[in-house]
Amino acid sequence: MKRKLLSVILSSAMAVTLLTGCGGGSSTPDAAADTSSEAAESTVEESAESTEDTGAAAAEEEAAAAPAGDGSVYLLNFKPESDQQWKDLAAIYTEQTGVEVNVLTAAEGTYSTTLQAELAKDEAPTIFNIGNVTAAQTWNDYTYDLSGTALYDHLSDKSLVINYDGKVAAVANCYECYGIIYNKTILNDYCSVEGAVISSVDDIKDFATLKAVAEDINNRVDEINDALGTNLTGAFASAGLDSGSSWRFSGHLAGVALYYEFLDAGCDLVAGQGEIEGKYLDNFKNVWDMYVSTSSADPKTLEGGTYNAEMEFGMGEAVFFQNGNWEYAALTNPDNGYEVTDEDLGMMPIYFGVDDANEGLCVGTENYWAVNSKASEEDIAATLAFLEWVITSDEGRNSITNEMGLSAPFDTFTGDYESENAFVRDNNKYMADGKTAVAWSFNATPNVDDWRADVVAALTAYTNGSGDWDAVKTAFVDGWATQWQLAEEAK
Amino acid sequence: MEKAIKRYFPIFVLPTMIAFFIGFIAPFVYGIFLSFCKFTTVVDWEWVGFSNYTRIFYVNGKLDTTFLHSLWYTTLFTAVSVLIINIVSFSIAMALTKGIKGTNIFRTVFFMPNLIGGIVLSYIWLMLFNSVLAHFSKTIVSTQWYAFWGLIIVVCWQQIGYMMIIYVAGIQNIPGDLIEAAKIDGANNLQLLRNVTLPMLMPTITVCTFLTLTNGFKLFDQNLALTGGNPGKMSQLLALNIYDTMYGTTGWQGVGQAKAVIFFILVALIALAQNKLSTSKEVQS
Amino acid sequence: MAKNNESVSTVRRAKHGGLLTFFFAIVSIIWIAPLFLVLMNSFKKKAFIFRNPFSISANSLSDGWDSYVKGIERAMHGWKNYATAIKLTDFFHAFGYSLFITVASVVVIIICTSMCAWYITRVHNVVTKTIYVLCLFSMIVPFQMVMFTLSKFANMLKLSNPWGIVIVYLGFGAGLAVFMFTGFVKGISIEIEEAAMIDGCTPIQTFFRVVFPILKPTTVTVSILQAMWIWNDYLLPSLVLNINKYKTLPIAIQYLKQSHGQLDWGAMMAVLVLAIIPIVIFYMACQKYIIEGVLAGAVKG
Repeated sequence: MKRKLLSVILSSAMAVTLLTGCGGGSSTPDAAADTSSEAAESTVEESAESTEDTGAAAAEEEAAAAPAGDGSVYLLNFKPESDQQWKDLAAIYTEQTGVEVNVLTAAEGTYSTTLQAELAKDEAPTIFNIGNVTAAQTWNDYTYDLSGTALYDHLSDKSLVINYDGKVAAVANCYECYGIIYNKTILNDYCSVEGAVISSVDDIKDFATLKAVAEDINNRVDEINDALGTNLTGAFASAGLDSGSSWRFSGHLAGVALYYEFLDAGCDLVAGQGEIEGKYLDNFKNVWDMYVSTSSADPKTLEGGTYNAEMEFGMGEAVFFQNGNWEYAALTNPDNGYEVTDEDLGMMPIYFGVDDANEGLCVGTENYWAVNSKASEEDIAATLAFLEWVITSDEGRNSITNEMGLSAPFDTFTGDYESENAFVRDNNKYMADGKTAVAWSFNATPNVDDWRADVVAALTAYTNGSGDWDAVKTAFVDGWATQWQLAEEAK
Repeated sequence: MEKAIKRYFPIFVLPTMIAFFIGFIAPFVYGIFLSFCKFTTVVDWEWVGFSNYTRIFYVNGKLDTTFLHSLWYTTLFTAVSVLIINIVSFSIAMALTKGIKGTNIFRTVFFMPNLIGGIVLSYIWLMLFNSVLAHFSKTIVSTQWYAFWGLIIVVCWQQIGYMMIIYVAGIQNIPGDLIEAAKIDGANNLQLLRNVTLPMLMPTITVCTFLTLTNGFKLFDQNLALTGGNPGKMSQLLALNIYDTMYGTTGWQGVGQAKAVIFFILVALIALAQNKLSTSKEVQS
Repeated sequence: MAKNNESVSTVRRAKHGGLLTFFFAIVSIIWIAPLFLVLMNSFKKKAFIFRNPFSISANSLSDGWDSYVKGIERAMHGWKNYATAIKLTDFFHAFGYSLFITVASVVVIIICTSMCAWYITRVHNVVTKTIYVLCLFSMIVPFQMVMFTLSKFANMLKLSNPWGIVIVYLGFGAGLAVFMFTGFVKGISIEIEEAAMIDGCTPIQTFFRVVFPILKPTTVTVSILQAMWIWNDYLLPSLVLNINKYKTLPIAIQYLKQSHGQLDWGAMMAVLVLAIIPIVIFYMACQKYIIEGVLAGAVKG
């Protein structure tokens, strides 16, 4: 059977060569196989060559208006919601300078597919997005060293870069913050309810207090609803372990545990290290137990994907909700029908029981710009000029802050160009108070999808009672070492 | 006659074959080649021989059974879905070619689930399943078997209408005089079905089993949206397993490609066997 | 035509017709319930799509009728989701591209593959056999295996426009179409063709005057299946087309999703409802021809 299949494949290879008319009278199967693989190789070489003169080809094809010799820019955008803004910005730049700027936005969840397909094309992106060290490793051959560029110089916090293989592989294009989103109005009102464990929201300064408040609200939820006229079902919004929500815990919450461990180890906070011991996993467990036990969701069904934490919080059914500043737009959009408004929204740190007095919100990004090192020199120059324009010109700054609603990490964004996002305002307040921002240490996760899948599986089993905490520990610690080793091998 | 037609190869076959070469053969051969390479983009590869293939089963010196598990899970899934879909859609097609009132409406209704795919529909099904299972404190991904039957239900729901259409076309292709003749000879309904309808339908049955077979093996969207492979990769069908390998693990695109080749060879063997089996039963006209 | 249909099966209908109709009516209602849920939720605000997915009201009926009616007002968004969806997806442009690509591809696929299928059924040699096996193979290969290489070849050959993708669809859809046509060609008796050839028809004339009309029901079936696939296909056009210029409907729908899992579900459901309307109409129109074709065949026989 195998032999038969082989002969079918080989004969098909022969048919192929005959059809294309390039393989002469190759009569033996071996020769046919050789021809076709040679054909494949020569295709590769050809396209490799043609990548070299991408600039010329692109200029010929699309940038008819651009003066000859100038490079062109091709931005592969990561955030679907800012597609139009980038296109508008590109049009303004082309109008002002004559340099062609092409913007392509990958649809959500398809960035890696799109990037992989686009980078293989003749007109490859000159700017693309990478999210973490793993991605920097994957695309190492394609990242241009950004140290010494204007982009890097303007960066206000030099830790917001990805250093890989001795170069600045990518620079953050925005920063985001996450923590525990809370309903300010309800929480304030709660303080006046008889028997409340705090007298003011500011009393919540550590994990123990937060837990006491959450438990109290959850235990007396009917009483509080009667007293305040609210329709709470629990203190915390449901901690869904389905793929649409589990990253909040396997990524963001785990990130806090990783942060403290890396801090102790003294290694790079976002690059991490090959072995971890899960030093702060007990704290992770405490926070997780609080999320689960003080929400109305059935712990046995968290993985099902039925719960929607944003809706619960938005409808005033929950007081606390672990998530990030990107939730602001959805929560305040009147079309969504939510009950919360801008004034209700606040964000506090994920008090972890380690250094609560100094802990701020978790600030970082998964959006870094990388410049394609395989692009032509003119294109690279044009690309760097475009990026500098974006972060220094009025049009660029206005677009990023006011239209895309992002918080840019560059020293040029001051005054009118500061963010209006309520959560970002809270972050600024914490920073002004001298708190330490928690870095996004989960960016160091090796083979991030695989590692998280195993952690979520173990966490699910622990939560629904079919497994124990040791399995979570194993997935967290041993899984890290395994995946790290796999990633190392792949280099 | 065959001789006369033969010369017309360039007109009848060549256009399709050229497109087929561009759209399938060339990418496919190149894809096989890449399964022996380490690559990030398809123009940027390095020959590594068979190491991608060994890494499917041995990871860090340990035996890795996730691929094998997903292999038999997929096989079981395909077998069950092929049976259910074909039996049900054939029955419906028979009933809906008898000219009962509302035939057109029913045919359209059964076909409609096919028209809308992807994330939203899976979400609606997720809601339906979970709202029922919540009474028992269970979800669709509580165990791999809940996931299994959930997937079966959604896939049957989507494909029964599709196969029904093919069966309807096939049944209507059976010459009416053949059936009339059998009736005059005094054949009852069961005899009619066994001795006339089924043999005449053999080509259609071949088409439908083959389609459901390959659909079962290639299922991806519903798997991703409904169970996402949970609990813990236990409900990962092969296509999702391959996808996961390509994107979940750095530098493993080649391994994903190698899995795809193994997968292809396996399904090819099964499908060829199936095709041989049911073609041999077809009535030669 | 309906009358013809009736007379064929009057006897049987008298026995079970009413019962069967009743049975299928019940099953049909259950069958489209999930689709009905999509339609219903497409008129609701995001919050209530999640909160009360199975109800049109924000409040439960057990709280009394008045509060239920008030709840409807609160949960419903009217046509606003549709307006948003049309604006966000640039619906009419996307619709146009989808329509063009689908119609052109289906026409090309039908003509080319039916010819190919007839040829490889009537001519028996190694080449035709190989072609048939290759077609079977193409249906087995997981798309993930060829997607990047396909995208690269399409890019090299400059096929990243609506015309070019028609060629890609012909190539990628050829397997299924050839496979189905050969299945049905086998059932056609060869005598008619031989008679036509003896009367002096060239193979091309024979095919288009004799074979193609007989294939009509199959043609309609294959068109429906291919049209549905191409109309809903997301991955292939997203990798092959220049998506900045040509966004098809599934691609435009995909762009409703935002980072961090944010999604306007109301608009999503609305655009899905809009997207399936044309294909339902197309299907219903085609259904007539399946029956017509069969009747025509019956008269001749």
